[in-house]
Amino acid sequence: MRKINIPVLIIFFLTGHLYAQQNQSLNVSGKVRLIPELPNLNVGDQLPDFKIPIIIQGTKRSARSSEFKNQLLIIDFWSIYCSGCIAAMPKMDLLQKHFGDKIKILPVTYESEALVTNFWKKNRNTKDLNLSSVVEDKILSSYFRHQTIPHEVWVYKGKVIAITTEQYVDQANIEKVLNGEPIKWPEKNDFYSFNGSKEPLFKLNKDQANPSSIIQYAAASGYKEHVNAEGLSGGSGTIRDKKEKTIRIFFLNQSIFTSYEMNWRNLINPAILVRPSVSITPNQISWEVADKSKYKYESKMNYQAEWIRKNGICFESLNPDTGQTVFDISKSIIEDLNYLLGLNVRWEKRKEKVLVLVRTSNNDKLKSKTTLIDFKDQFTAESSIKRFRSTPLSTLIYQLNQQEQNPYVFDDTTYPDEVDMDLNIDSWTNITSIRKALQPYDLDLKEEERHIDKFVFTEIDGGLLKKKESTKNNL
Amino acid sequence: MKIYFFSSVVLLMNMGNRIQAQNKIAFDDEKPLFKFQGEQLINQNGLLRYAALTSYREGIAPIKGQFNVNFKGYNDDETSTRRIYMFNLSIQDMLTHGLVKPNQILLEVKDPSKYRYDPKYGSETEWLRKNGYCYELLLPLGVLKGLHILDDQIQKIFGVTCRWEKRNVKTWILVRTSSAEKFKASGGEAFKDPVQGIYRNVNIGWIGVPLNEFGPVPFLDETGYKEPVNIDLGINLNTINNLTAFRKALEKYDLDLKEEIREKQMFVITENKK
Repeated sequence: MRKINIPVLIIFFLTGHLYAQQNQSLNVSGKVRLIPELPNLNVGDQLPDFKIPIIIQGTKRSARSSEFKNQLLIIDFWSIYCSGCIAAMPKMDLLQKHFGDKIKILPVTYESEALVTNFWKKNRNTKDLNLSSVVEDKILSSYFRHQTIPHEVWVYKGKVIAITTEQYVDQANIEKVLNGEPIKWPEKNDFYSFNGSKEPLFKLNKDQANPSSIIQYAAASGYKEHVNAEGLSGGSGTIRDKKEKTIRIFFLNQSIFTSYEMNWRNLINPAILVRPSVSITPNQISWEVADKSKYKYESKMNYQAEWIRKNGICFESLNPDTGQTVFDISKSIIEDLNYLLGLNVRWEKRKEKVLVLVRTSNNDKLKSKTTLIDFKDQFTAESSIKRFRSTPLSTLIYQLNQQEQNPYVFDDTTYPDEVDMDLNIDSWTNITSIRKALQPYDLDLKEEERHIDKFVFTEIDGGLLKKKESTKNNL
Repeated sequence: MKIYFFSSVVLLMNMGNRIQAQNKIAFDDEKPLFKFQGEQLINQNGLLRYAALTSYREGIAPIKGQFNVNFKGYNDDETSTRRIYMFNLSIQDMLTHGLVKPNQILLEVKDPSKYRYDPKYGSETEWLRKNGYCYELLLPLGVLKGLHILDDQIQKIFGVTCRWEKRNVKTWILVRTSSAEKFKASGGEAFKDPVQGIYRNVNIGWIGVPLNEFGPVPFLDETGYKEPVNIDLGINLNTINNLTAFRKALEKYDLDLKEEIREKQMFVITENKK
């Protein structure tokens, strides 16, 4: 009999949804009708003077690019289908208001005036904004070619000074530009990609060794510029050389954590792990390291692109091709990373205290009476009031397991329906307060000891990442 | 008992590099295996690192440093890295770094001829061409605190486990055959010439030094004699080629060399079970 665990599936989708929200971009390649004769402008180029034909929601129906030459112009490529772009619009509007005439934030879309006008008036993120948007664009998209949006082009005093992801558009960075401070942000370049089949990441010095003498190597280096258009990976690949009978594996610009996590997924069936969700939550990771910020990006850290530029690694290994399977390849990557980085990263069975959500009576005080219009209202938070509407209990479990310091929280209620709850809690880690808030719904969090699985990151003997000061008596 | 070590003792004692470097001008042992490019060379965040194994590299001499150490370390200021490297070594030499005497090594392997050279295999260079390896490990400057991570990796590559362990092994034991002190020193300056077997005013254990260094089994002095000795064995290690001749030379001093089992601390290399 095939058994499907509904709450687990919900958590999986919910997790995916929330993670995706942090970086929801849209691929628009092929959708924009470009003007072939216009050159692609890069950082350092001057913005030519040209007419911007259709602008909606503004005081002027059209404009010339030269009108912005005394301002910081931020061209924000967007689409009505790009949720990340739309979610960022209120921020763009606030920044425009804050900086006034010093800057011009100009949303630009290739979509039709009718479509965009209709959307702009109805969408809750855009309907109250004062921003105007370029529509039916061809010319700006041709000068600044891109494949994914949001895509931000910074033009200051008529010169292109940066091309970035949306995250870089914030008060601090705008002030930096206006104050004349030097900027060196990672460039969002959607068109460069490393072709691992043509060349290795690490090129052999043929004066040092004959290529045929190489039996195996594993190598890592820092971030390779221009490879990541956005996000946390610059691509990966496996190249089998039939003539040399070798297998070369590589990936670029990935966080160390992601590199391990992805490969562990090929080594172990995630379904057999005892943990509260099938995707990894912060409390599933046990950090036995001096500084976890070197290994994993957290949204509360600085800019994602900046972080990956500092902490991302490129990796390449070469081994004799013995017909390795995906399992074998992932195992060898993990072993190589462990060796090169001085780490031991593994899933480990541990006996730990966990919290179990249980019902304290058979009285149903949970069942939802709400009909939702917007999916986003399933869970909302206003100061200490956490509001759950027409959502499964897994939404609560998800929130609790997002806290790194919380023990695993399992749902043993088997409650099948959607619930409505208002929980007055000051923090997702204050278990006493959460238990108290759950009482009116005849729910409780019971403490138990269970054998669970944890993803453990251990630095061996301090690890092998660069330290600020050299260690004495080293070899 | 035919033994091979005597004839090569002098040669080994005086030789610097066992393999002479050929004229390979472009090779530079201070340069890494890879030609780093762009961000690799700048290494701004100190993430550059590699470990590489190659087969025998033609024309490169194995490293022979102080105390027979067969690897070297090089700090590169440009990339802020430290590189540990070893060239054209047998598996045994890679595992011991040249720091363990051959007679202290116990090979528990199916085919020892893949692990260490023996003159009976013919030319050492030819043997190394088939069985020699080079290894390099490059890491950020200041992070390597010992050789254990490198050792663990080399063991893993070759599927072996190494450790120091007490084992009962054949040992050459120096004993007295009478209580007569035919070797008692009469004073004077200490002097020793192991090749000619001449010892003046030194501890009796010096007789065993060449045996211990190059012999197939460990040497142990069980004479219990603590006073300085004068001994002239009247031999030449260049020409002597068996243990019988050595024992005969000891006879006149009422000394003998016995082969017996003793418990010794040995460096054991064991092949892992597959």
